[in-house]
Amino acid sequence: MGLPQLSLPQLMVGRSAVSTHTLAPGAGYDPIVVLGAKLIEDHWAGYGVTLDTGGVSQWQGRKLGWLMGQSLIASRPAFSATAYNGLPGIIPDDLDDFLELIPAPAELPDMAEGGEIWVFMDQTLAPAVVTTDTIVMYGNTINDGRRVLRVVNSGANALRVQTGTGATSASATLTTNPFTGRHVVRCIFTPTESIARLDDDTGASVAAVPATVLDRLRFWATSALAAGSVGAGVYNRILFTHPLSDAEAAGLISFGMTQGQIA
Amino acid sequence: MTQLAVAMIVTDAKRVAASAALSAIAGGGIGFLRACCAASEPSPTWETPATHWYNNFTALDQALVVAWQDAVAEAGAEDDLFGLIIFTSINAQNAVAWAATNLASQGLMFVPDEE
Repeated sequence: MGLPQLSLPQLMVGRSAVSTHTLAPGAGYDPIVVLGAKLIEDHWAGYGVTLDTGGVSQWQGRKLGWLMGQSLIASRPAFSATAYNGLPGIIPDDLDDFLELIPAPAELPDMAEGGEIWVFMDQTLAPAVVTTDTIVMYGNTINDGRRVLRVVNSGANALRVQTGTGATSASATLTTNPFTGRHVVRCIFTPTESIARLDDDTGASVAAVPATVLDRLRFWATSALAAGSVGAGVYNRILFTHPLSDAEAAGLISFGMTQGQIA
Repeated sequence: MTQLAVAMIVTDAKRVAASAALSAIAGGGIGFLRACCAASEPSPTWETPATHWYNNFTALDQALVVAWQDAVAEAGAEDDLFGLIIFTSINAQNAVAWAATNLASQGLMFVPDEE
């Protein structure tokens, strides 16, 4: 069933030009339709992006309407209608740009409940930039959060999943698939292990029993009280799901790889 | 309207007051989230105390930037914006490299993040 083409309303508020971008989802596959109840939330850069002074001040989810926001002007990421392979993308600056929702939504899996975080993104940092960059994190500290991040491992960009287990955390770093350029990121949190995957690879895993809390949800920064390890890149989509079947995951991977023209 | 990339450095002592003063002019929240310390600090960690703070705006209207610059220029020694350093550029595509240059010009570097 085709989805309606939505409009691009423009609104002037005070001295700031505020615009809300609302475009049609990708043709032929809509996570809301295909994944049904398995989908928790879908943030797509072509939908619900509010631009205000300094950049993106809000990004609304398509399913539940989660409103990721940023009140600080300096910390608002940029928006481009074409930055992700000709598709919309949100672009944090690797310095102080991030969006947050406090408290984290109750629909997110907490404690040891299984769940997945998916990201369609262009990882733009060179390996020479040896910072640790957060992509998505929710929880509070590293010891009680779920985190997707980009790291430099042995001189190469790598995807890492990090799971707080209570007194400490466990992480798995994917070293077999360089994390540079456009990718479909999939981090799977099960009651007993966490797995980091890129595109259609087999991924890297670590044993971990999550002790996740729901204090804060942040895109591109840690979820601790003071946000840190701010991320970079171009972000087309961030999704949260319940555990997916192999067939459901294959469909989402195929969609993401098509959107990004990932070989 | 011309859009400028803007970055600022403020001392730790003036961080809160300067944020409020800048916010009042902008009509929106201005903060400084990145902690800085002396570039000569021998082995900084995430717990190294900040002496200064840095922020970065990818694109702002030139009129707002000029208003901030005017306020800083007019600030006396006791005023909230006294000593605030503002950097501007057009189409600064690499905020990280620009930050490194800006910080180095003041003998500063970022305090590392907690990993």
